[in-house]
Amino acid sequence: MTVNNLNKKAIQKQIFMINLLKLTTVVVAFVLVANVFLVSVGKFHLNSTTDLTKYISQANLKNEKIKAKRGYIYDRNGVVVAEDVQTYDIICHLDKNRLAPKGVVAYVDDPIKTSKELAPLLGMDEMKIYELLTKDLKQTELGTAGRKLSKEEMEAIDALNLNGIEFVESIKRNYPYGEFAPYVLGFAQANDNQSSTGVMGIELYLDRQLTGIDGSKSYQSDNAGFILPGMKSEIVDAQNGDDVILTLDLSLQESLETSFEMTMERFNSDRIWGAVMEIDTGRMLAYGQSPGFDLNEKEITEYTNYGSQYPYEPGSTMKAFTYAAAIDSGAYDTNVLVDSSTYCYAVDGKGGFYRVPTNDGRKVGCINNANKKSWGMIPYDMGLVYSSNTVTASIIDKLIAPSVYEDYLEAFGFFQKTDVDGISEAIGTKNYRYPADKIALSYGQGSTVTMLQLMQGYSAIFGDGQMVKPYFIEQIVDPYDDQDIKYQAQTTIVNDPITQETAQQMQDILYQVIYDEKGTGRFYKIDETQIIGKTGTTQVASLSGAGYNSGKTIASVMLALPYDDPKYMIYYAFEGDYDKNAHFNTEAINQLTRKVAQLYNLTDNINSAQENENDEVIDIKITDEIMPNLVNHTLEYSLKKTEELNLDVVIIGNGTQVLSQMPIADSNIKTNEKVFILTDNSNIMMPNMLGWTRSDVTKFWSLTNIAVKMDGYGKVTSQNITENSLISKNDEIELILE
Amino acid sequence: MAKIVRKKHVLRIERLAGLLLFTACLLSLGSSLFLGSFNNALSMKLQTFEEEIRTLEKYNEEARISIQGLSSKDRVINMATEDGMVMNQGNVVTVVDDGE
Repeated sequence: MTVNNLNKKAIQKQIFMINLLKLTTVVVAFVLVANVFLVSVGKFHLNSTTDLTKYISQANLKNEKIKAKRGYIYDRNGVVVAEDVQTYDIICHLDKNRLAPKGVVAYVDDPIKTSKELAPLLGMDEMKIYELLTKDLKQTELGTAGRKLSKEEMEAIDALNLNGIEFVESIKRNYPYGEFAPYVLGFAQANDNQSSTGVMGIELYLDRQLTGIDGSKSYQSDNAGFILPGMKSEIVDAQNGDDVILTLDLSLQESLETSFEMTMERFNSDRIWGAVMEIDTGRMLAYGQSPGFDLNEKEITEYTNYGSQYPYEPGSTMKAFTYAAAIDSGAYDTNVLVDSSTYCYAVDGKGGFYRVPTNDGRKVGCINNANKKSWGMIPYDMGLVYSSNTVTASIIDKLIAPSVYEDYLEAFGFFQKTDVDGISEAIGTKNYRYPADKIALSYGQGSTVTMLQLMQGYSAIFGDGQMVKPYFIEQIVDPYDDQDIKYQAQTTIVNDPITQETAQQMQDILYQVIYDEKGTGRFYKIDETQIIGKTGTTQVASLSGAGYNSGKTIASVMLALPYDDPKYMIYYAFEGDYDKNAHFNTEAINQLTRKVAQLYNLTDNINSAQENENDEVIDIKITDEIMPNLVNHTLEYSLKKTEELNLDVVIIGNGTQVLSQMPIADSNIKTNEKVFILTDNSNIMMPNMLGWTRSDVTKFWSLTNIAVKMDGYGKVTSQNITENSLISKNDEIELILE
Repeated sequence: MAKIVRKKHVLRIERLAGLLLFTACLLSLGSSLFLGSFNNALSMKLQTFEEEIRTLEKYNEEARISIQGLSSKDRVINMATEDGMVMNQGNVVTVVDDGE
């Protein structure tokens, strides 16, 4: 029993111990397993009571910035004139211990060779590069010359296989048309944030709208950079900046700049400025100046925007406002004659003045027309056509009071800001106190105005009496949805200084400026359409103060077309040494006027009328037709048929019945194309082949089988057999084509 | 007898259920492993393609800029002038596309 009991106890103890051991094992195992599970599933480390979630989310986490693109700027036809482009910056690694795969040198190991080969490609001094490459730094850049490299430049350098030279991507604001309206468009420059900020012009004015919002991307990835399922990836897309559509028309702008070059070449001008504007709306289609600058190079020599910040005495283009004031206030009578000779005046002591004879003792001053010309007693209209200073002086003396003219100038917006789309501007200086000032301003001297003011003022004269504000920004559009228009320009009617009737009467006088045989603008005529306008020539006041002895003049012209309903106005001015041919050698401006006419379909028939010797206007629309069958029909029927289709018929032979035809029936034919009809196989007269094409001659040959020898290409300029002489199959016609 | 038969029947269903469960677990494990790696492979492929698209887009964009530069009016005129050609403004005719 005892033994049994003892044994039993021992056995029980053993069993207990075993169970305890089992339990301990289970508990330990459970705790271990639980801990592992807690860590892996619950993301919680029990021993250190640490929440692991945030460590996990940070592990291997990469943050990248997604660069937003600055908005595009387009011309009115959707051509990109400003855009962000991908460029490259050079990085030179100088650290000898930089990690690299076996056999690759990952730093600049040969600064002499490297600087020698880089220098010509970067346009940098070799020594300068060498200095930078031998600095005690881990890496270096090469200054501005090493930044914003184009793909081609980058590839050229990359092809040299220089050790330690690498590239990082960067963004540059690019202006594909370089000198495109730099004073309107302006430019943006790189900032510290690896994007661009507007510095000038519309790039500055609309900087907020053009600038996008950068996005970001934070993600985890495996060693190869892949984001695997379940890994964290947060992407906030970049918001690109809004796109801007300008009113400027690239092709017209290029024409304007071509005109500047021509004027520069012909007159060696110091300054040239000009613009084209849509009269009814105020849309600026072209606007520029010379000297200008290239928006990519930014070598700026002139910061003044001549069109808005350069007030000058406009000269005779101002006379239109004197006339408009007189006509609009009802004081103007076309039948009254005025003395266009030297205008001398006396003063009344109260600021007023009146005309006196040239030899009158009371006179305090006299003014003359240009070159001291006089046309005697002329109708007032001709005063504007001949651009007479003495007549405009008479207007504010006899027809309207100087104060009335002053009020009109106010109404026409002079000496005030035009407030055009963020373009900074000067307002000009009004000198209107003394009689001499008042008389001078009647022909545009003594006070200064800007081109923008002139164009705005003229919009009333060329239009229907309403003055519209010029503008440059047509639309601001969401870059992702071109239907989402964030800004749409509206035509702004600033004022209505004159009535529609006045405007019409003014346009009729301004027509004579161009088409009267003595009109000052007679050299501005173009073939495409009829125009109206006013010229101006002003001496530039010397900087030293009173007097006009600077020797410089500003020649200018304001034109509008077409004559019967002006739609576009052109202003053009150039300043330089006096040249009496300024308004005679007008090629530069005429090519611009022609461009406007052609671009906007203003070409009317006066061109063809002049070219056609019979003065007959031919205006046939060319259409595609099907050649009818004429064979076996009468000549009469064939002529009627071909006339309906406006075809040019050549009848061969004296018969009355059509034997064969070229082109054959059912072939395609165009209006005015030659059609050959053979009516007789024997009595064939030699036609006048001058002006025929090779194809015409071939058709003639295929119908008649008379041998033809053609020499040269183009059109027939001579034939060996005279017209209307009888020819037979034995003859050989010889033709020279040019 | 009848009781024994019923017991056997119950046992069969349990066994079958157990077997099914086991197979299902095995399949699930297998497929999750297989699909998981397949999914990874697909995702990597997708990202490779996306990267390729980005590279090509960049290449196209750079090509567009190159074309723009090469076709610039100034460049053409410079080349023409170098070869002795002159522009006669009087002969320039602007053709307007009415179709637009």
